Amino acid sequence: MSIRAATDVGGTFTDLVCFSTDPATGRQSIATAKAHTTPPDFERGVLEVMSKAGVPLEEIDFVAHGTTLVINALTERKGVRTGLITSEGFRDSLEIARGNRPDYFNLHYVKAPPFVPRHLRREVPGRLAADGGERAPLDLSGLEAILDDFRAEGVEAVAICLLHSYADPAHEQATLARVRELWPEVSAVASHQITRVWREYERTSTAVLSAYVQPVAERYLGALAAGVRDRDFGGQLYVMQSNCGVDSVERSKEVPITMVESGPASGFWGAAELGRLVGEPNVIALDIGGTTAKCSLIEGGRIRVVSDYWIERSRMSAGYPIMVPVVDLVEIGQGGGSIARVDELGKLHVGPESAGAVPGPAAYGLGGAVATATDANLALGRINPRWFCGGEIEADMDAVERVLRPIADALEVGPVEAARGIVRVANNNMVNALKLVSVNRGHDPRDFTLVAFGGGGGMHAVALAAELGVRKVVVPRAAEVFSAWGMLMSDLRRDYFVTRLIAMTPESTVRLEELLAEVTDAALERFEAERVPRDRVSFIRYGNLRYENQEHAVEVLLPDGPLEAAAVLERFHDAYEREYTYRLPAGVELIGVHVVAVADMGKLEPAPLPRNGASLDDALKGRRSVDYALEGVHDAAIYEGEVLPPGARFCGPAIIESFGSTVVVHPGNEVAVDDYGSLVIEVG
Amino acid sequence: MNDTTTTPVHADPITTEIIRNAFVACAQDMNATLIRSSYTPIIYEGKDCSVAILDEHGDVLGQSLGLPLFLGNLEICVKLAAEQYGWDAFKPGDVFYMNDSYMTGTHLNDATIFGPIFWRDRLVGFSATRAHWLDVGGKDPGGPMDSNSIYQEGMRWAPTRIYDAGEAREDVIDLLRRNGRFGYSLVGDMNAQVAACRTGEARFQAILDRFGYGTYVAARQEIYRQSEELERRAVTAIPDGTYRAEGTLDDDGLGHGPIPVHVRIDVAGDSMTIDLEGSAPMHEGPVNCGFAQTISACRVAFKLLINPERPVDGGTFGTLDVKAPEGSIFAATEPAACQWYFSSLGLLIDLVVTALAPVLPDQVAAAHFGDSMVLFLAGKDPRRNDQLFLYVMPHAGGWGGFEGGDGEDGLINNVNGGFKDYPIEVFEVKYPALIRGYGFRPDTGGPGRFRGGCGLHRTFEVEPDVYLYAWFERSKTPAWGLFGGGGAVGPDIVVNPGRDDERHFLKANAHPVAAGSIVRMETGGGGGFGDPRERDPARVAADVRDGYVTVEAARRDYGVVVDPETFEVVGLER
Repeated sequence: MSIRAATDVGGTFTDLVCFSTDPATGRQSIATAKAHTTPPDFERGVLEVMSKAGVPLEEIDFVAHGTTLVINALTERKGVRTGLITSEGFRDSLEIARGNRPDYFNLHYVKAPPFVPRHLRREVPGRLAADGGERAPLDLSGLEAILDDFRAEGVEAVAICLLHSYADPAHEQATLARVRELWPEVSAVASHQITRVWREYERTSTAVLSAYVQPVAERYLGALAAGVRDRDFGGQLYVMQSNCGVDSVERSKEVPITMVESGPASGFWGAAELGRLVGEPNVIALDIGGTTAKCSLIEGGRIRVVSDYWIERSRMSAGYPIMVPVVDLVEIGQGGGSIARVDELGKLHVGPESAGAVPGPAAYGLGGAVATATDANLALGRINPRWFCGGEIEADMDAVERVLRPIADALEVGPVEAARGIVRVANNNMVNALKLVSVNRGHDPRDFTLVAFGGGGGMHAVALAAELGVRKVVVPRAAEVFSAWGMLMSDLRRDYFVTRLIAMTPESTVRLEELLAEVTDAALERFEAERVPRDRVSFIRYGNLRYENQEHAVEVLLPDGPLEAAAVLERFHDAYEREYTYRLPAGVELIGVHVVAVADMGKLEPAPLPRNGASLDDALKGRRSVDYALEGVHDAAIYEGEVLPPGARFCGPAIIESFGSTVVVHPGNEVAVDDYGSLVIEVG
Repeated sequence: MNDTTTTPVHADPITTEIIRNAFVACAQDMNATLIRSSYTPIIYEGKDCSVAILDEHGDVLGQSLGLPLFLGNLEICVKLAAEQYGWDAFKPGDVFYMNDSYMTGTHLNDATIFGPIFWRDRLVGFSATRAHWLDVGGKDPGGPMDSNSIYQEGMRWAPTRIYDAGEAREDVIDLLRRNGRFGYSLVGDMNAQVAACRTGEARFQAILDRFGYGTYVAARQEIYRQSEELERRAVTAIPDGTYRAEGTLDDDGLGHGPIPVHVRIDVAGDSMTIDLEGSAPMHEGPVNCGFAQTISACRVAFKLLINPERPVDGGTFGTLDVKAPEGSIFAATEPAACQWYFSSLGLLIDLVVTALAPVLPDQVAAAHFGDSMVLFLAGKDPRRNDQLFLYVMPHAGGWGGFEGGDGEDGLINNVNGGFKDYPIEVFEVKYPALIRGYGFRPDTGGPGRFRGGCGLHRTFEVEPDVYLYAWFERSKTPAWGLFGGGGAVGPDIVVNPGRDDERHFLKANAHPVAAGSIVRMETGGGGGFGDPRERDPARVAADVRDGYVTVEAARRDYGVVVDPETFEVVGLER
């Protein structure tokens, strides 16, 4: 028996999903377990959920671990007191930020306050120029006094960011070495260790946020690794990253900030893998959970990884940039627990506030006193009150009626209209998010398949697809644990972004090749030091190019093997025109490269479901009246998701109820169950 | 559903809200198209643009602003065009271009492009866009700093068809191309605006296809009604009376000044009038502004105080009336020069806020540093075979304190918003100069119970000989305080500080600066709010420790004695 497990530490619960594959039959079974998250010693919850699942640790080959520890430490301000060392004359860069004011009509605008106050931002003389050349030598004579001040101030982590260190990290390396020498116990990080991309404010912010969470993450990952080792785990332990790959515990401890957006990343990777499996390379992936909905676009089977990411950025605030490789996604505060309210002008809003897990939707019967999207879905018969949360809870329909009443009164409509309104507004919010990743980036949604997962994905997917013109929706089997499946499909992956300016001429490909070789050699060296065999490593190379005197740039996939300028330029012109609608008769310059290093460490083999002779009728649980909002009330067939046999076909209106999710099939939709148990829905 | 009736049919509150969102999304889609397809960084990075989707009367259904100052301006342009030609002159597929400062209110670089939208043979609305074109002719590249009439600034266009019933008017477009120094990118940016108009048209038609005309009209009525009602309630809450404030601009760039600005606000019941009677007549230099932008600036000031979070639509600003004497700097007429039309508007917004301070003490803030503080560096780049370069950049400064909070340090001015500072690492790759320092100027924020924000300095060391152009304002009325708060320190530009050839100025046109020189620009701080002697001494000590306030200023302005070593409060002199 081969066992692979994915654990996920969330705000409330720590989840485990185990995939066991019988080598003889190829038959795969899934087991899940849940335990309470145990702050501040999160590793206890992980170890507990493993023992709860009854899977002996020593029999597990592979564990992929995801955690929201880093993002939570940032948003809840639970990191450590951090000091910054930067170039002389530039300690205010972190606080000036970019000077912009996204909330135009706010006389009282307050910038996102820096994580390091001004008196803990200190300068050292020494200056590099844009070409990496030294204009003034680094002078560390004052460093000892700075570190003494930091000690006296209770600083626990030091971030270092010097101007132009993306071009030459020598000054940062020397500063880091001297900090370690003078103060070995302090946690320290220099910006070049995280990114080699220009823009000093963004890079400083990245180094600061990374330092801020580093001691917390080191402590946790260290305890987790020791904990599983103590219990005779002999397999591989990997940590989920924001770039849709996994990485080693050691590497994650060095630069923990790369885990910042790892939560949604695994699901998107899963969607790309599922797309490959079912022959759909162009996918819009949609993950709807309890509090948020996230979406990402996958084209040609490739996820898009970028290095411009922000936390706490909104229409009202510029937020904090973090330059780490993150899957390109849009996230909105819209999920099952999103709260509905009517404002003083009679406008209905759904989200972004959420009822969370406690008290949760009113239907939980835990004292939730406001209506949520889930309550509306129950009221419309879309969720089965007697099969709520996988049959674990009887939905409190009296409470649902009670909380819908004030919404209905404020809108001067009946409770059914109010519930329909909540579903329509929620769908409208999600359509706008889906447009941001598709239409607004030059993609026509009609060319894509919508892969929907998470507890609420199947509930809304068909309505959203219809609105966007998407013709096909795929809801994977066990959609509520699809992220865990994605985690176990991930490779060991590292994304390197490096800024370097090279004018693109026929002669300059040599310089580009040199740059690429520099990056890939360093990556290989690091893999070898970690005993990752060279033959398992492969590279995907991108060039980041633009027209001279333009700021818009596009990332272009570079062909494998030797490069020819003409071929690279042709790809650039095409990609540029697609993204920005025109091409120019102007010179082209490369501003940097993005190299992806991937090592296949052995992943889950998806197995087709066995054909056990079950028929569609075996899955039919009954019929009930379901309200499809705009399409009215219909008598719908209710199927049990786990029993639906591969190859089955049926038409909407229907509802498919599984352990942790509900799929709403609208009238006119055609559904087919594929070999892997995914529901493939043709939207009429 | 696809009714074509003009009679409003009932729209339930959910449908109304979804239609409202649909128009906001429609404007955002137009903006995305414009940003994606424009050629010039000043549009897609500087966000010097704006779009709106309007109804058949020219009222706003949805808008997306790059610059706050363009608030409500596109609707004025469309209404002026309709007045000129008549509402029935529009044909499907028409697209108009206009830039005349005396109509649009802004400088000639701002291209306003709009087209009518038809649905089932009926005029249902307009999509309109505005974007800053890099060069539209005129005597200096990009736009002059010392023009003495509009004819030195470029060519004036009243609303002119560039597309006639869907056909491009190649002769007109060619004329445009020939009258800008960068004709190629000019046409590129024009096409981007036309594309944005087409996006708006398609989205508007799709909304009508989906909801039907009658439902749309009913929803629109309700949306406008909500906004207007909300606004009337807010204005009614302001006590009736007359409120005044005065200030000055430094000069007109040709040595004439100071230039007085007078604001009088009359609040009566649910209406408000902003009257600029008493403000200076038009000046020779390029500080004049067309009336349309004066209205927009007053709307910005109004919006900063009244329901700032509510999106703007056809029901907004119904309670606000703006008056300015014809021939004043706020209602300029031919042949006034208008290139720097916005300097007076930044001051005007500060003054409107100040005038209403006695009755809206919790909503207002002390004055901010006041202007865009634009600096150009031009010359030949020795690193690129003496290719010409031109650095053009506004700079941030300090904002005013307000009840409950200190003014922000180093933030872009009130007529800008989406602008982002150019990173130093990118600057140094692109231009032959090194930046020696960039940071806050201590003690530049006005003292107060809530302190004004600090201004910034940025110090350049130029590699080759360069020409310096500058338009820095508000040295004669730097940000003032409110309710006993102190005033801020104003701006300055110094060349070669401490050397024999040290010189200071605020405005300059092609001022020669020798290779290796130091250029230090300094922006002003924001005004203080409330008596500084009432500021919590612990906050004063924290400011000293962080270096926003010096030990000396803490004692002088706040009466707080702070130990320079331990940053403890060691005495109060209040």
